Amino acid sequence: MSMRAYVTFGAVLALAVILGGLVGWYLFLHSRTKAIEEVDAARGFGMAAPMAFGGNPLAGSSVGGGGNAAYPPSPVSASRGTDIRSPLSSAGAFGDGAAGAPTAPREGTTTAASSPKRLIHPARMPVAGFGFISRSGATRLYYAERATGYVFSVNLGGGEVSRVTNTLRPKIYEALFDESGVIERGIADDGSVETFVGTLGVATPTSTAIALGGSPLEKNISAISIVGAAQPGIFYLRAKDGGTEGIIARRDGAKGKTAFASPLTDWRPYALADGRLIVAQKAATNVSGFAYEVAKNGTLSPVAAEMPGLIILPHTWVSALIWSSSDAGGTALFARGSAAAEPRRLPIATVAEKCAWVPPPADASSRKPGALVAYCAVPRTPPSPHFLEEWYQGVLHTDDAWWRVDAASGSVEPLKTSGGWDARDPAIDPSGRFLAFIDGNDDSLWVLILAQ
Amino acid sequence: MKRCVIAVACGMIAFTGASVAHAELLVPGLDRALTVVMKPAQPRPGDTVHLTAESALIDIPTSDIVWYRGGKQLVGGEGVASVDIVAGALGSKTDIKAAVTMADGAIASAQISIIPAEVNILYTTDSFTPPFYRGRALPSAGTVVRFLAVARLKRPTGGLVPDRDIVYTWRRDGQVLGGVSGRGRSSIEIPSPFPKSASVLSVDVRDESGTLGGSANVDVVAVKPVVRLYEDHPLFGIRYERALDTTTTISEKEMTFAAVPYFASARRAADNLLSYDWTVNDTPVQTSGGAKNELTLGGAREGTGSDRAHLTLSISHATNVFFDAAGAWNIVLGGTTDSQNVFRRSSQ
Repeated sequence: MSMRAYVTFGAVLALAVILGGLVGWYLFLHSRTKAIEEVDAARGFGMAAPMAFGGNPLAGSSVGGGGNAAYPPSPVSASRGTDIRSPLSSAGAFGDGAAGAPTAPREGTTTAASSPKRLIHPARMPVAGFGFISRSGATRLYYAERATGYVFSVNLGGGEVSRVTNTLRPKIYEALFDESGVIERGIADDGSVETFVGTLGVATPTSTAIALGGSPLEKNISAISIVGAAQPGIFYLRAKDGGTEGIIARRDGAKGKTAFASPLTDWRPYALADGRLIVAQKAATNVSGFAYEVAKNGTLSPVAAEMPGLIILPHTWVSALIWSSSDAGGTALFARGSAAAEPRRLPIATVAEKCAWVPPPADASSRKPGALVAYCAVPRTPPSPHFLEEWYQGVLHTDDAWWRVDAASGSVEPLKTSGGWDARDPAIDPSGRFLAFIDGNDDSLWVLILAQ
Repeated sequence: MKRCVIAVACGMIAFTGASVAHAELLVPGLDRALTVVMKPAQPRPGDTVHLTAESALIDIPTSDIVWYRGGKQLVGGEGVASVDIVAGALGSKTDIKAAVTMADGAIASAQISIIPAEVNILYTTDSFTPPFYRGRALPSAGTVVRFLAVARLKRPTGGLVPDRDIVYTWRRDGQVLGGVSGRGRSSIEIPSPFPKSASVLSVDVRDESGTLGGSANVDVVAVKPVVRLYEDHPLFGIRYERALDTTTTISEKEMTFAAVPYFASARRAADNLLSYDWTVNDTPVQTSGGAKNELTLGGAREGTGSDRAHLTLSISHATNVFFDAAGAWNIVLGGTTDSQNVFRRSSQ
């Protein structure tokens, strides 16, 4: 073989080695880049800074529509955290309600699904709470970030998100909103529960974030509920003598007076817009629960009694009620249009905590009797025998579908939406058009547009 | 003579018969020989009450029995020994009378009044749950369970009987708890049952006159404390909404974990009475500063790939020998994930 052939061969060989090395280097860099991007995504890099959104949070998803999916449709699987160890309950996720049903309540009916609904994903980071606030004839959605305590507002019409406050308060576990502002609750370094009552101004997309003014309430308030717009104030529970004392006070905590006293703990307060105060025992699977209305003289009248795993959802203006029971056999949902109305067992199985009433019109004269509609998130798969404990402890997450419920007639109707949420704390704006909720999988905030 | 004897004999027979007949009418206490038994003995509003006429002297199945409600005939006939009545609302009084007419015309009757009452037993315990936990604390060994009897005794004349005027008789598994029973004793405390066992707690209530009364009972089941592991994030705090699975992959190289012993007999997770024994890959480790229920894992060098840690935790109680809580987790730090969630839950 001639020298020339050797040189040619060597050149080709070197070229091949160089090319192979470059390809290998590219693949190595690509894998490292992907790993770095995943770490950065986990740390929040690339997500919108807490200022006005550059993108349009209205670019959500609708079933069958193209465009960007705000949340990929999720098949029912264990990877979403849904516990599928238990056998089918007697009721089932969309059970017929017949097996094991109490004899007293009547059955509801199911109607066909409506048109697909659109979604908004205003906050991808964990939020501590949200609320609809109406000012100057416009309703905006406000929420507080869990990591910072910053309050943001969302223009539901145009989708703009603006930061309202710049007061840093990390580790906010709960945030409640009313027309005056926000109540933020967190845990101090010494383990005590802190409650801060803040006042918000009117936010616009162009206004500058301001400091959150306000004042702290006493420490270690176990639970709090905001009294309705008719009588601004708070109803909160605190420990006393091994039991519980319920205080009703002005929003800043002043002029508090005892409205409720019990030797027991683990109560949940409900302060309703019509002035009623209700206390309900916290729920546990298969453990009897009770709920009482607290009269002005402190006496208790039963609202719902002796149901395993009882959770209630009282209506803010009338005595209508949605409640659920949970035992080893599953969950069951009930509704009644008034205190005197016959209870109905609904043909969907979920907990009342995943439901929200459509608020009545602010003008009392335009409220229609009998129009008692709620929306409920219903798990697509049956819950585990210890559903409530595992759900509350973050062990399992459900994969929910949304249903419309007519509490007066007991009829239910599924909504066409993509799934994948473990919905909690849903609420509906005064117009009845927007349903906001927190996805328990990551505590992000979602809005379902019920009507255009 | 013979005719006289026969006449006297007939007269004596007639007299004896009449005497016997008269004696039947005149048997003392026959009018009280009938009783009405009510089940349930202390009905609640809306309960279906089963009333039965009973007697040791009267042959009920062959007797004519008539039932009255509020003075009006309800039902009657031969052998109608029982009737069902729906109890009225709280505070109502329904008078029921049963009258038995026997073959000789004698009548025996008995009356009873149905006055519904409402009694419920609520309970809570002092076992540990973290702040903002939405569920109820459940009793476990070493905890104390507090009970409250909510008795609503309403007089037919109106008004609820005040709690201080109600006599409460508490029983645990059928045994009267004399030390905690009495007037106004609507709330009591008892130790939790032993692990995986149950107790039946019941209460009988009555007003001072004994006219109004009710009862209730509840099963109390002790649970075993359960340990959950969560990320303690520097900004979010403890991520109670996402408990770690037994196998979890995390993209971060380092993370602080917080163990939460639900339903433990403790006031807080890092209670002085609790001891936390951590091991990582079978090596005991001590928590360096901070709370003893928290452990920080990680610190692997760049380029060394992911780190795998088999984490175990055993919690013991200084004074409660029945306390037992433990957990084990396989954690991959710095691993790759294919979902937007920080935690990727591997299939079992």
